[in-house]
Amino acid sequence: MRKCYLILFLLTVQTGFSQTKEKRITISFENSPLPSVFELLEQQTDYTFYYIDDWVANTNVSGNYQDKTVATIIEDILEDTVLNFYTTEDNRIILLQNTIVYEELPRNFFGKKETETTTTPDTPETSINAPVFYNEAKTPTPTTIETFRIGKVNTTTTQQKYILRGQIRNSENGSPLENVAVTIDNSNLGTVTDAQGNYSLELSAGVRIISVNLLGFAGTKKRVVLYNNGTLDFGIIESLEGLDEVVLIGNVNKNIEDTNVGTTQVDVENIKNIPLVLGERDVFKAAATLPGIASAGEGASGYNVRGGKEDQNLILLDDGVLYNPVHFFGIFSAINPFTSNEVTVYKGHIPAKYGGRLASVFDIKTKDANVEKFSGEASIGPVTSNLVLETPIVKDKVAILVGGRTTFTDIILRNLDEEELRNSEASFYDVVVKYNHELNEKNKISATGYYSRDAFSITSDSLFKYKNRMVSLQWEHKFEDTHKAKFTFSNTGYDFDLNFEGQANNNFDLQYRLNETNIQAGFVNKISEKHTLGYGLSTKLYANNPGDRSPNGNNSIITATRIPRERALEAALHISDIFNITDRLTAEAGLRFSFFAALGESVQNIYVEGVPRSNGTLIEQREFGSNEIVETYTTPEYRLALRYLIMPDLALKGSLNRQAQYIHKLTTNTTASPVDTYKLSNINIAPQRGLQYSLGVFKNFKEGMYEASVEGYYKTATDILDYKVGAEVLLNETLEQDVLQGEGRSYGVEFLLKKNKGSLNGWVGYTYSRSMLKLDSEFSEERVNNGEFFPSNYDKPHDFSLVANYKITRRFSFSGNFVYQTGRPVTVPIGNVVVNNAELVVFSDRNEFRIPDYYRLDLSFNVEGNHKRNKLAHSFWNISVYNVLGRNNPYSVFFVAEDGNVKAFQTSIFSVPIPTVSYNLKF
Amino acid sequence: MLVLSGLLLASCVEEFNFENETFEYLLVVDATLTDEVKHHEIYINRAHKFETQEPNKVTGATVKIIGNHTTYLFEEKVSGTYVSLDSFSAQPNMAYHLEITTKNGTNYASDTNQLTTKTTIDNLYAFREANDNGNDGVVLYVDSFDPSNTSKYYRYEFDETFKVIAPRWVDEDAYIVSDNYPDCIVALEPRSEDVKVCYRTETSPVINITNTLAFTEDRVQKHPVNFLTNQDYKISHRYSILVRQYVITEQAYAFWNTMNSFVEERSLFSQVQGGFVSGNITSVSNPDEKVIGFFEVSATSSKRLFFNYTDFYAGEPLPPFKIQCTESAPDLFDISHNYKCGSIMAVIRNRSMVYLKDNTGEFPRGGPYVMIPTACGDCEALGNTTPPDFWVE
Repeated sequence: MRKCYLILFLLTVQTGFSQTKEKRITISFENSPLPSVFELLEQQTDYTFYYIDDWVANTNVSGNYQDKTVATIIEDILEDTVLNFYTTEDNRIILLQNTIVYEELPRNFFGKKETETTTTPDTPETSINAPVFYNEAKTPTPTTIETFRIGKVNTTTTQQKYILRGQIRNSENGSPLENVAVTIDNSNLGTVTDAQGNYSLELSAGVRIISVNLLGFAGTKKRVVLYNNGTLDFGIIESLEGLDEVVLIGNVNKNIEDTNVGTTQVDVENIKNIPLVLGERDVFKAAATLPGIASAGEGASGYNVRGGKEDQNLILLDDGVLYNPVHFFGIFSAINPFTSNEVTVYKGHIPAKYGGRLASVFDIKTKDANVEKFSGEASIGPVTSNLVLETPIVKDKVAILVGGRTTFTDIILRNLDEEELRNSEASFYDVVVKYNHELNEKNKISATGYYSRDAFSITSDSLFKYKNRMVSLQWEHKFEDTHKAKFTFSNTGYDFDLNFEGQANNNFDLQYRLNETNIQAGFVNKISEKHTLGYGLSTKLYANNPGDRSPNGNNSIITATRIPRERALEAALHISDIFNITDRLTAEAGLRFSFFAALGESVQNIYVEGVPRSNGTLIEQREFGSNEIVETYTTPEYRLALRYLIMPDLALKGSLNRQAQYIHKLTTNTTASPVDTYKLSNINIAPQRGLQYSLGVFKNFKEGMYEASVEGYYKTATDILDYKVGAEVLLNETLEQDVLQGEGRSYGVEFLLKKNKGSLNGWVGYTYSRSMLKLDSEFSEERVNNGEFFPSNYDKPHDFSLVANYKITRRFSFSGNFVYQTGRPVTVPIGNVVVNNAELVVFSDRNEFRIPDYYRLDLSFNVEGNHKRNKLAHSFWNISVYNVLGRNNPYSVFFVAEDGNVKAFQTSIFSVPIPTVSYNLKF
Repeated sequence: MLVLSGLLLASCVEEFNFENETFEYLLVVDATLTDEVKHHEIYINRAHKFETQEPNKVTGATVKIIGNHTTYLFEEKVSGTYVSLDSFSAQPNMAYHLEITTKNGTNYASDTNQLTTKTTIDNLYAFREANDNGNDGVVLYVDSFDPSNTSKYYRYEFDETFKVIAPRWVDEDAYIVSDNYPDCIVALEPRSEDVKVCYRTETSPVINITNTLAFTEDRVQKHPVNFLTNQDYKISHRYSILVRQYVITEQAYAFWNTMNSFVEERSLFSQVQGGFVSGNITSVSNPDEKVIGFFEVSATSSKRLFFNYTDFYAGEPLPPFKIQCTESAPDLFDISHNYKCGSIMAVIRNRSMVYLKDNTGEFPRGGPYVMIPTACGDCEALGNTTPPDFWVE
């Protein structure tokens, strides 16, 4: 066994030599200390030397080399030392110190097993458990693992633990990598690298296999024979291909080490195997299978995070806000999975740099375009097709990515015989463009453009269209390695149009427009090992056209209605510190000071205070000129998080967060269509403010093969917007008379068990949560449900999801997911009454009833192309069935008065199993 | 194709039955005290399920109105209808409230209310106009003005009385001589003129409210109280309407407005927020119990108007009759089921049809008489033959 190992080792050294041969240099030095010689070599070549000073401290060398390779030179100068060296692919020369040859075998060589626990501290001699000879593992290791000997044995040491340090860099560009998981196989030990890519591990002496893993990078393993304190650097390669050697795993213990409680990372690669709608991978849908994040319903656009409203999620794409990034009633997310790099969902602790929404932040990053070579990814299916192309413009510096998705359902619809279907429309597309330009080592700029458009018929006589537009420009600047800045400009637009053309004379066009311009600057400064300071400011300008309805056609009797435009400015200053108090205890303390000003030109209704707002209590219509400040609100938002590592793979985390939200979505859940508009805070409508306490225990088992967590939260909120009974939201000119602002309260406990590796992997999540609202007043018309807490529209106590992938062989895999949610509350008409000879309808208390529970099972089967390494393209087929059980899950239930009676209607999507086949290609 | 059908389902809005297993028979109180001197009536019933036609009357309750230093007792006249023992009227500046104790001993009480401002209807008039849907018809408007600017909120009710003339009236009527099989015998007898012309009265089936907040003066101007299309049989001959205006409180207005919003037809894209609307009556015994109703103490004013069809539609054809006068000849003998008389016996007995003429071969396989639905030949199916006291030709 040992022989085999040595051969492999030599082979790797050989490779090192063959690479170093290429460059020849001329150099001379006389009795110089080794370090200075290395410095000299570093100046002349692009090699970097890695060694421990102790090794070379008292060694002086002389030499005169003419046109020799670096390897030859080093070989020569190290001849008389115990040092060996190794050249990595990315031009790093690592010095290695070989073992000392013992004159006799140590006393415990025979008989005693070499484990970390065999040592007894009070007998120093036996505690020399540094390896003398080591036995290979009984089973042969199938892959090549390089071996490094670290440190020099000191026979007199009684030290049981040594420190292994090192830096981890991206082999391709040499940049240090943060958050790389460095773990020791078959043990609970592990750590992650800091912002400079440095790690440090305390280990007992002996043979260790060190694994280095980072999402998107090839996992690397190195065998280390540890004799003493030492250094071992790694260069790891970015990997998007599932190469044989690469084990793609999440950051082992990242979930443990992270200070943020309630943060969910959706790894875009991993969601590949979740069966999703019509063959589409979907970051949002994947997120919604995790505890605490519930989809608002089948096809309902939006997510309820920890009992929050749909409008309480800040959705960012490259730091630009997206308002409704969904397609087709929310069936697909409008984020192209091929172009997204990662999605981080903050549902508990929200760092101070984010703000403006109460419940969560979905931070989506578009991946950088490939600066090395032309590449792409495509998928084609019966419903959607997707193509992403990336190309370098200036190699290694500038590249552009273009991605687009569309559907061809419209073409099919147009060719149908049935007239009603032929006139229906259901189409969408989205386009994303990203440009990244590395100006120099210190400056990088990037630009993202995004556009999505949907058009579909809700009823056969209506057409609903909506668009999301976003542009974001970013400039990242590095003052020094520990001090960075990022400047962002973004502009976002969300529009919808509803076009109604029925038989009668009530045809109309309804328009809604929202625009947001955002400028922000953020800085991160790592002052010391213990403190990382973040600070910055941001400001955004809103322009909102709440609604504009015009008659459609000459005989339409609809009167034109236009709700006046609203404008506002929102600004925030934030500062935070990540403070590593001890090795185990880390705190993140942040403060965000947000400021909101509603701006003119505007006419604000002033009402008598202390009585319900109605036309009867309206006393003044106050006019404000252009850019005149109408009303201001400020909120100090504190964001505290604490993480305590009980063990390296067991952490306790807690957080306390306060948030403010100045924009409100108006939705009553009572209509057939998603004609939800937004409303800015003004004189009559106060901002929503929330406070969340959360606490969680996170534990990893078996080297991160299993992850388990339990999180609990309790949230309170004020001024949550809701409606009076009888309120009509759309095109309401005196909306403040119909809205109520009340107290929100939600709490829940979330369980998650994940299996990250193995042929069977996936997760099980369960959440028990409640979300309540209280609308109380001394006036009965402003009181809902007697002023008591009642379930909010999105109160879904039980939420269970199961996602499982089973890899049958490398090429065939099978996956399934099952989702169950309690049906959401609904207010229903319960009966008729006759009063004053009129037959009227009585509704239940608000949200007294529930729509039927939601459940759905999806299955999919992946067939991958062969895994030949040099194939031009990597491809796979995906066959999936959505809603295998054919469950008719209503996404909306509403009631319409017809001839004095009230009829119940439901809209549901996909009440039958939907099979799809899609072909995916990556090159 | 499956994919496609799935997509199309998305645009599908379907009707469904909402399972409501725990129907609550909520107490419904319909009580308006006015400034008219009369025996006031209060109606108490319970909410009913959509599928059932009639509200459940609440019998055996004790009802009283307390105010003006007096307790006015009510007695149940017909089931669910409670009438004051004394004739009285609401007086200004006095606080009135309603108390009800049901048979099972539950007590209910209203908030106290004062009489609203007395404002009279100034004008009641009719115009021939097209309504919002473009249908031609007659609109009835009211005008009212409160110089004190304190009325502001108004509710309207009306009783419409109109002449019904049976369009296919004949002077003979069929009667059963014998329906004892095989003696299935029918015959004709002469009929009085009486059932040709009747008078029918209907009460407004909707809640009609308005307010004058948007105007500088407390003036109701051209407020529509009723619309009759030119296809409505009610205006075929002579029509009369009695409009009652109630000045109501802001709270009452809010209550009716919300209740109304649930039954107003609107587009699929703009529904209102549903929910329970509480009035001003609560259960004393159990404050959590839901009660529907609003006890109003209102100043009222009424006005009557008459018009003839020819006033607006001179020379134009009459609107169609309320029902279609389809002719048929019910069998004398039951052909399919032996040993029984035919369906003519049943239609004569339950008076669902009346004689029009002899069957002279129009219905070769039918019975002896051609018959039509009763209302077409006998107006008493729709009204009374005696004109009401207020009726003027």
